[in-house]
Amino acid sequence: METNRRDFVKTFSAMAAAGMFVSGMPWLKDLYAQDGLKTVKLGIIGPGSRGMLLLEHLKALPGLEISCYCDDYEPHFERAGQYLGPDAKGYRDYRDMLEKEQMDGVVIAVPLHMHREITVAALDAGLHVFCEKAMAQTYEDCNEMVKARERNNKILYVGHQRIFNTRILQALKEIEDGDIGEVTQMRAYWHRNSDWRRPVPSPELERKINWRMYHEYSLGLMTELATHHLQVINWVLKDKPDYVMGSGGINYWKDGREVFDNVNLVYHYPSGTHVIYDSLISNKKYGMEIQAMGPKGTIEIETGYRYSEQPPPAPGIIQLINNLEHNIFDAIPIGGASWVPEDPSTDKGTYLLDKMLKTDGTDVQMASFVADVRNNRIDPWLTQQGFYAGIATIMGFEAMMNHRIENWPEGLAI
Amino acid sequence: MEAQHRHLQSMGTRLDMVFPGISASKCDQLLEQVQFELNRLDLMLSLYRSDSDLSILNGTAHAGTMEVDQELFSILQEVRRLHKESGGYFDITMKPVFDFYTGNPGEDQELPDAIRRKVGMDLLVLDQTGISLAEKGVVLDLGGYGKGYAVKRLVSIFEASAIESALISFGESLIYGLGTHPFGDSWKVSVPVGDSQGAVVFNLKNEALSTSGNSLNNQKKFGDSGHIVNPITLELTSRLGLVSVKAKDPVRAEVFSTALFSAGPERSGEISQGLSDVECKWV
Repeated sequence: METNRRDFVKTFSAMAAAGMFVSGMPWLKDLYAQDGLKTVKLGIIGPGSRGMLLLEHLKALPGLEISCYCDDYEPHFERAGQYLGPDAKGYRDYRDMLEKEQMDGVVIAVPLHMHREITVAALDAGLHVFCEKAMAQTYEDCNEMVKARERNNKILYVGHQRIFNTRILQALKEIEDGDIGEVTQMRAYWHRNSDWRRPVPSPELERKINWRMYHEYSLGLMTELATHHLQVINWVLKDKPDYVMGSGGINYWKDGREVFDNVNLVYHYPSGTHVIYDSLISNKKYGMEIQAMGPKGTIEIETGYRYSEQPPPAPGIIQLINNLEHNIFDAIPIGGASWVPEDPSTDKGTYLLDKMLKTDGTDVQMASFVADVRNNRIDPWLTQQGFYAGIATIMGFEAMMNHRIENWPEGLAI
Repeated sequence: MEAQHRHLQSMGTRLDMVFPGISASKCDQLLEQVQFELNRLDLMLSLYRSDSDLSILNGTAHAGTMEVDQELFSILQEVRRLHKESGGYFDITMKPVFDFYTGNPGEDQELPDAIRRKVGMDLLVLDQTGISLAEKGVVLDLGGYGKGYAVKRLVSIFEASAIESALISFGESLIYGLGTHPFGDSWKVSVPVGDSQGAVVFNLKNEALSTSGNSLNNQKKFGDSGHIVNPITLELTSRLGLVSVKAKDPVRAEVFSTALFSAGPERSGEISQGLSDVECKWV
């Protein structure tokens, strides 16, 4: 991890020096300043699998103390205690922790249905908050979290790590520079092939462990996967959707789950641009991707490729230029019928970045959160990204559940 | 030797130009002239622009004689001559037929009489006062002519700029060799033969080479319907193969490659015997 972080700093510095980032990304400054660090004290609530990953990234940062942790599931409580050591104090009730601990902020990685309650309580306790994505389960919950941030004037990050991924930053820059022209359509998908279940030690723990399967706790594929892509799409289109239509269902994993195992949506943006999104967990051939398409080209944001609408020169032309440069006179293979059917382009594309870093942005995001807490640097834009992605996510869910066109809820904006 | 290469998108395909031994700035000046000329032709000949001269003509000339720009008038005069020279196999009114078949792929449908009435070069009426179309719905489509005309115009521009050597490729199907390769006595290009590794080599010196046909690759994917309308039978030409036509005039190379492909190997031999400036080869 340390190596990755150094790699990032090096590459990031080179890219920043070359002016490679989109303008107006203040959160990407001074992430790893080493001099005269003031120690930041954080607690973590919900050190489950995602929470432990966040802890690993946090522990790699200088000038940071994880002073306490909280979990009401015993195996996770014990694991976190062992990982953090005796200096960190453990709690089984987050309210106790917020009341008794003196700290600068908390990292919240609990199941979705608890995001609002714990985030609002932490903000009202005067703490900066990092809350895992998706923001919350309902429009009202998302809005309450925003209001709590505003009334306490604290930092609120939602865990959309793609904002901190260099490959995605480069894609955004090229799109903003007009390299593919105006974005006229976006398509995104996230496909897996697994039941998405976790092993349960005893039956009464089913809903606690597999909370993602049940509507009481989760909106399923929408809040677990789609929300990431919707954040990036809002970012690319510099807007939020005004309505969405869609359909979802359970057609393969008929194992008692309540959430859809396939979701299919069309989002409409005020510019007239549409986003076509689908996700399923019964086939993984196409994996995941976010495609931004314009009259000049296409950028595949997740895999980091760009494609031009103008085909590359024929091999014969390349050969001719090469021959001329080497003073060679020879036949070049170039003549042929020009008509081609409208089948997909065979252009293999080019990489957005020469060097692909082994990070999805989560480590940078944690570094950014800690640096912002240290400097009391509040960026409402980051909260807005989480908020708008959260609302768009819930809109998709509501459209599918109610078989109706779901409009952006009136009055919800930052 | 250094060579300059420029490309741009025009007439629905890619135009590549290679200039040996000239400076980049000279080449960029030429490119500006090329872009200007292609835009001008687009405004006159494109069916993708509703404001082009040809689109306006198609939309209104059935209602009465229309005066057009002298250049477009001359083009349509030439088109009529080429129609006769090709034994009727070059016909710029075939778009409704093409649209019917490609809009109903794989269906064994009879071409409706309503479409048959809208095709045929006799529906294009030229007289001293202008141009008229004898039926509403006739569509003049210069797609099989335009690239040749554009190349002819570009060659004039290059010659006026004292360019002695260049190779132009318009979508790979129309190649023009201006002057000679700097280390040879012509420009040498090869057309691949079917699925094999073989190729037919052509030497071009101030000459154009145009290739038309159905490739095996396309036929594998799309069955045997083809994409070129035979104006005599009003069917798509399903034959597999390519025909390459070499001529001094890129317009004639372009027009006769399509027409002779429709006519087929036997009939094309008869037609090309009467064309002293055109060399035709089935590959």
